Amino acid sequence: MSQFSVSFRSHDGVEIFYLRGELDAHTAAELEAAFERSLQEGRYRIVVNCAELSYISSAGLGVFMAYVETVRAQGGDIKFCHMSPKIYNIFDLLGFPLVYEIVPTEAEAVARFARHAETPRPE
Amino acid sequence: MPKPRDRSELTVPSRTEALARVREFVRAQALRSGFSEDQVDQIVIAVDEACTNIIKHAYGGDASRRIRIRVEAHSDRLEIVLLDRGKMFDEAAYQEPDLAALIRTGHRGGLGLMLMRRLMDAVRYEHRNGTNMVRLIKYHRCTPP
Repeated sequence: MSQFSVSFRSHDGVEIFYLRGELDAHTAAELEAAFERSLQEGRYRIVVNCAELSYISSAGLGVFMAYVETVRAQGGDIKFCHMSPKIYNIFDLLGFPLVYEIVPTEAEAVARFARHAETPRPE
Repeated sequence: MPKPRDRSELTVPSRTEALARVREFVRAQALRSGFSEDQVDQIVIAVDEACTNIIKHAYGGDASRRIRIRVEAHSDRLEIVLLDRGKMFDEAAYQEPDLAALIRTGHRGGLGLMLMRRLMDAVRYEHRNGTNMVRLIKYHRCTPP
């Protein structure tokens, strides 16, 4: 049967989600709970590490769609890293790379938040 | 129409818990038909999307209903037929969604059919005598002479 889990780590003010297993219409609720928890704790900078994610359907992608506006409105974002070609292909088929930042490594994803925070706001 | 050379069928309850079993079943059939791992992955996702649509839209979350999945292996293609007796799908009213618009409006759905169409060679829908029938078709790639 399908197995899916999300574990967490905080680093430099960034919440990192480690997805493991198969993300479908059944297991998407678990990812949704992870976003709800982060939002309740005021954590809007989220990196999704996909190294152990073996499967995704549009129900899983729908969760990222549902939360991205909320986190961006709070100055945060959802960035992805360690995505296998198989998972990337699904993101790509639906045009997700135009909407989300997908970078090779977790360190780079976290660093992008730091760089963004250092950029002075225009007067 | 010539009969398929191989045919197998699975019936599952209309519950998202059943999706993993459906994927496992379709994967085994597609591999047996000689598709590559990449093609099998594409077929499996398309069937998952079709099943999810039936569970959520045709049966509207009624877990007491059933879905039949028939896999037909032909010499040049694999056809997966999903049958349900739920609400009819209005294909004429369907418009491919715009991702940016979906995000702006907070919608999360509408991508399943789009994905099915991009992953398969053909997606056909029919409604006959109260039965919805979704047919997903993938051709074996022609080998160059």
